[in-house]
Amino acid sequence: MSQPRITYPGACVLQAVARGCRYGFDIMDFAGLPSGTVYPILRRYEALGLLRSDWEETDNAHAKGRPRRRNYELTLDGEAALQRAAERFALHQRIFAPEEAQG
Amino acid sequence: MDRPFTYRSLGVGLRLCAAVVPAPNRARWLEEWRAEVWHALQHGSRPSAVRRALGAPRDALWSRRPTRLDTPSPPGSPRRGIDALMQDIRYALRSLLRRPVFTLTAILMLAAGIGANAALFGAIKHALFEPLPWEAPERLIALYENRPLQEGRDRNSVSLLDLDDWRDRSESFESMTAFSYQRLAYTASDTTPISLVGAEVDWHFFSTLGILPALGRNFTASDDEPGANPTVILSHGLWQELFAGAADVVGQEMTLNELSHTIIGVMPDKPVYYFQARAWVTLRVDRAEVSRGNHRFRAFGRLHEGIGLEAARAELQAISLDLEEEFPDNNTGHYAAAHRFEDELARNLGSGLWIVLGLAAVVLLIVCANIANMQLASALARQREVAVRLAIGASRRRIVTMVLVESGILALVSATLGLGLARLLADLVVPPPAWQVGSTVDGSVFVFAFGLALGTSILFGLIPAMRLSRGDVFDAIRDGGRALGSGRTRLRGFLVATEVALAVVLVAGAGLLLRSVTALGEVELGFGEPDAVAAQIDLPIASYPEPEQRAAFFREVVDEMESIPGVTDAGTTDTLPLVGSRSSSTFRIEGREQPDNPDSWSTSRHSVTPGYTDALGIELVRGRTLQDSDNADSEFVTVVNDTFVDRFFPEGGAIGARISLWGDWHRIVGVVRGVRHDDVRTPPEPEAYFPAQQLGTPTFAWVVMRRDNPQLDLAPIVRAKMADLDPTLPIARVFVIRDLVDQSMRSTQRLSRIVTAFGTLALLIAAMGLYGVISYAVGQRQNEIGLRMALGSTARNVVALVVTQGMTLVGVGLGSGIAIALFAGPLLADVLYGVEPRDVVSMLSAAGTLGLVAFFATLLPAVRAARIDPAGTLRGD
Repeated sequence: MSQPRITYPGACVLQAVARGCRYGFDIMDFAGLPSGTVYPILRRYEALGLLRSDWEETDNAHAKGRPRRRNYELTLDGEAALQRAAERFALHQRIFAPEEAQG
Repeated sequence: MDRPFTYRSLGVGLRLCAAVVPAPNRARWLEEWRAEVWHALQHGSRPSAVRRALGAPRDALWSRRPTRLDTPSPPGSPRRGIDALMQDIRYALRSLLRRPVFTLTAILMLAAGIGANAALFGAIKHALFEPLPWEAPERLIALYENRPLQEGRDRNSVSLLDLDDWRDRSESFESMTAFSYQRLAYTASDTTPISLVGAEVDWHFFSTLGILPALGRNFTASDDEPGANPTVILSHGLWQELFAGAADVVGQEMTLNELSHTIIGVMPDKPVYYFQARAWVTLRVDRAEVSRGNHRFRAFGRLHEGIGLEAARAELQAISLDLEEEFPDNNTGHYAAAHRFEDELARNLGSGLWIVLGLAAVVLLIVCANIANMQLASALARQREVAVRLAIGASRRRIVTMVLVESGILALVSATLGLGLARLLADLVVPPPAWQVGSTVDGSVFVFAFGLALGTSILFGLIPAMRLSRGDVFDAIRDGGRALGSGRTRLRGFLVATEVALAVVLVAGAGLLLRSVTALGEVELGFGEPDAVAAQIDLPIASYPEPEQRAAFFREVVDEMESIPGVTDAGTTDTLPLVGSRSSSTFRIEGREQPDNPDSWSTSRHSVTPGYTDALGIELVRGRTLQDSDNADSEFVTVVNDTFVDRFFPEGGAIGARISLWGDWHRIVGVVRGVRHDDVRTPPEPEAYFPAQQLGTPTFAWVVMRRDNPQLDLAPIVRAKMADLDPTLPIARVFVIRDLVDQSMRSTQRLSRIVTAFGTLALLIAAMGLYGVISYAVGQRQNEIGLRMALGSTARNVVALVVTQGMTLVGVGLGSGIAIALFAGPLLADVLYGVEPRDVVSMLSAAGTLGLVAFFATLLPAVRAARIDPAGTLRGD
């Protein structure tokens, strides 16, 4: 299968999930991106097989008096994609911000 | 605590958004968003929760995108191409909006170029390539009589008897028809008389055209027999106008030319022939009383299916040769000529339209060169950005696409604007011919305009695109974008030289046409009174059957007109100059052998009353003019023009000689100046003026009046006088002769106006391009100029340096422009008058004008260069 194209915001989202952010709004906070950007990325990457999602146990959530949440995690493909994105955006960063790259 | 309230309100919003989400995913979509919002409200601030919830609509919309969008497209797949294209379009739009001056200028220039081209394309296509609105129009053939021995007489009217023979003996034609235009005076008890343009046709007319009455019936053979009850078929327009579209009009009677006609049909609401007649009546001619030598009919025929034009021509030629043998008196040297309707049309439109289209294309080329130039200039600013894109992996092709997409957007917006412009221009460029209905801007013009837009966008986008994509990444990043400078300046110089060259061609063309207009204005028309007024009189034969009655009536008219204060002379004639019709006859000269080809002795003949030559100010050269005493009882006389004398009496002796048209000998008593009869361009033909009383007064005449005050408005007075003389006559058309002169010059004037407008536009665009390039070059050489000045160069030296650079470009452009103009000049030959297509004065003045404008366009940046502060520049470096 061909490799999907990872955009810069996409890389941020993958990064956030890899760092342990499991819920949509948490990912937003970590990546610093608005919900209107994060959610479409989550949907697409899930469809592409880079992410998978699951729902909290209903009983567990209801016992705590709150609605159940959907959580996301990286698949193996997602990890590989993140790896590639990291390499690519490192070059990106070097071109745009040489100081940071050096530092 | 109002969080539950916020949660509920947000819940309503989310539910609304969920409506957009495809049904299978909707419940889970809503559940996820509600849970996240609930958490955000529980663990964060309310505004932040609200802000996050604002992304829901976007997510909902995204969820509608088909799944295939969500699957990755392999490189090179069409999908991926489309994604990239969408990105390029968004990018190009942003980039264009960031440069509003460039964008606006480019769009306006292109819109003007595309609009002009589209309008002309529409006009030409409609006029030439639209199928004619009749059944199987390719089988319709215009028929004439060709007289090869008489130069320029290949499309003569035909004789009715000849046409009958062609029809009877030919097997190629399904049918043939003869007709002639005829003024019809409509009279009714309740209205003032109305003069209608009508046609007398034989009964084959409509069936040959392949168009039948929408109401009632077509003419039949019995309607066309001599002595048949007069019948008429109305045009749709006339039916509406006179009878308000009443369905029971068929069978009613109407009075035309004093005769009661039965209305038998009404034509459908579409063009019936090139020339829109308003009513058709039958000829009802008794063949026994018609002479074969009477050539007054127009004719056309319809070929049998499958018969080629050449075969039909060969057959007609054979028939003509037979007729020549059978009727040597009338038919010697007269042959049938057949031409396709389509070809006749193209011929009548002339070459003017093509010339204008060619010139419009040149304007568009200049516009393209200039926009390419502007793109190149702005490419400089984008060099760094492009370098970065190349660095992060964009392919060269991608960069080329990016620039082309930008050009494409410019072109599409311009095409849309241009089409609007084309609509406005369409009517100005070419007034639609009479048979044409609807606008000339139609679907195909849309396709043309957008095709043109696409073509031009490639033309002006490709050079900058190739140039830009070649950029060396690290050089560009390193030195902030000066790396590509010199090569690009050369390219821009080339583009500007091209613009200048094309502009020279247009300006030279405009010069040639302006000189033609001037030359036409100075033409000796042969009459000195263009301010004379003419009124048309059309006597119904039923009320004025005898020539004496008509002569008496015309005499009365002349007397009445001369009695008007301010009118010094008045006279009648059957043919007026520049109205597009005259009759010619062959003649004999007393005491001389007739030439082998009798047609070579041919003259225009005018049946006039004595005051005519004075009223129109036709100068007498020798002898005398016609007098009142030259009547039916005195010696038959004629006055000829100087062209007649030059051609037939080169040795002198014209005065006193006698000529004969049809038997009676007329003595030449005077010689007058030749009058340009056909149009302003055509030199006078031999002419002979005969006293109307001696030639048999016609039913039709123009009365011409000379005024001593050009401000005097004669029209109402003339109409009142005519109504006094005979109230049944239709209202006369009254006009000033000068209008005819203007009309005859109008097409050249219009062409010269269009070309002048194009030339001016080209001049401005070229000057703009030149200014841009020189300014840019000055910017590039700022350091060098600063250094020169620091080393002692004066401001004057600097100006000279820059102007020399600019004028070198201009010189190259002017040289090639003149070369092109010399080469292309003869293409204009058809529309020029009194000036050589390679006229040196026009070429040099075009070059001079452009040179002058170009000089100022380079002077401005040069002066700015001279103001450079050397210290500042050197410090900055």
